[in-house]
Amino acid sequence: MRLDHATRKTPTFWRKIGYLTLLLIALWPLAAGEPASQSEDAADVVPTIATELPRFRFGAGADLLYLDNDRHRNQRFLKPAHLSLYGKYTWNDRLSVFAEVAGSREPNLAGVYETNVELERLYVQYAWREWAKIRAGKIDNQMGIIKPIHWLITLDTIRRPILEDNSYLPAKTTGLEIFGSHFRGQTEMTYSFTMSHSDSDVVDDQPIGRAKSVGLDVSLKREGRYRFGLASTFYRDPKDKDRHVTGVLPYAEWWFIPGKLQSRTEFLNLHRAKGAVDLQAWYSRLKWQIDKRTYLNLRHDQGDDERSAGGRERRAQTLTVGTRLTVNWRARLEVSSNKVPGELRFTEWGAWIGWIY
Amino acid sequence: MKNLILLWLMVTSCTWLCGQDFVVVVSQETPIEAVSLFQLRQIYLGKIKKIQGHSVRPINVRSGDPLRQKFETLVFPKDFDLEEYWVISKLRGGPDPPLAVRGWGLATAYIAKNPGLLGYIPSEKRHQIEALGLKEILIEGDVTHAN
Repeated sequence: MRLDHATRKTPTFWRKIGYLTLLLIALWPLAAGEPASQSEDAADVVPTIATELPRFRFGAGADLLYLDNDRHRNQRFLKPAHLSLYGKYTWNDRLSVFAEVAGSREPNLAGVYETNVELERLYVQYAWREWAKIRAGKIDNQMGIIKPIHWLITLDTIRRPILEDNSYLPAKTTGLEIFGSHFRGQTEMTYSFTMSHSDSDVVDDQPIGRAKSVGLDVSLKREGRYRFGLASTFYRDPKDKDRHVTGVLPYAEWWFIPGKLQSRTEFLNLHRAKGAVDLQAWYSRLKWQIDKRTYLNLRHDQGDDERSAGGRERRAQTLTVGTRLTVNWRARLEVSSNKVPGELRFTEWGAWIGWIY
Repeated sequence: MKNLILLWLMVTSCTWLCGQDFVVVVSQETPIEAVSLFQLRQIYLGKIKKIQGHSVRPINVRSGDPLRQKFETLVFPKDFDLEEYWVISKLRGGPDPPLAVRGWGLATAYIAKNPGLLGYIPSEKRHQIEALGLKEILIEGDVTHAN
């Protein structure tokens, strides 16, 4: 069947991808495998450690996505959905630069998608101390647990939660981030403070473009036990200083059985212009780590869905089984049951295979 | 009584750890005498870079080396997916994995020449530690805290 398909490919982006690809190919030999010495003879002159560490690291990811749902009619999607190329150059222990270009086409639940090719990240990082690092440039929005750009690897599901699928807190920002972590006993405290402007629109009665923002995310984590955090971001319309949106996102993750059974909840409340109803979305999931590589994930999703339900509340229950086939390959199978007011309940099946280098 | 229990815990955990197939070493110029198992894990994950105010950097032997397998079996929980950890760290622009060299012999040469570098050697080579310009540091189990 034919899907509505809007494309957005600018020559500048293709040129950027071309340059980056050439650069990455040229530097490929430097990035391959684990760093190792050229000689096994310990009597040789051993260089200092700083000269042996690779300065450049290259990474890439791609995937193939299959989706089939019976919402309006029999909709099927089978295409490569994501491609990303990224690299990091390290001058020394403290200073590094990171860049990523990515292309994506993910259909919403109505089968509509766009093809986007974008410079996803480009930043300089200075790590003064573990508790005080700074990033400047185009960066990920650090609010909450799930970061949309990393879904290829870090998500447990094929479909993202409603609150992330809509990017209610814009996934990318351009500006400054101060962040760090500190251990107290075995508890890790992390924070991220950002001053930036959003790269996508912030949802309001009229979307705010390039909203200026200030955000703070603070969390406490004990590996294999729990993680609690609270994020809040304040967005202001650069054209109207009295118009603003505030997002608050508490989140919690805890292990019922360490290493085996984990639960997680994230809740977003977006307080918008005066008179507008707050926008809310949340999800809760239970993950059973069957073994080191394979898991079963059950998620309940609920929230106002602009992307797939025209702003109406959607409820979904999603069951996913995922496995890491090798270091580089991973696969997922998924079924979800969705309910949107005024429509019949519908089911979506999905399959995904991803490669990461 | 509390101190006695603590002492007993330290002795039993140290006894258990000292019975392993490797010992953790640093150069003789490195002013670190002990690390906890938790700290050791975080050092090898790139999350802790200072112990008691002194810089530390880990060094590994290559993956597949039996010594490394023994080390990782002890230091990381059974269900911890180390390969996945480094893939995600790379994707997020996080810390890089430790330098990995061919064999513990080369690792000791690096460690002796680079104060602050921390690694491991087979326990049967313990008698060579001083001659190699190294010193053994104690692993204290999980009874101490990171700084």
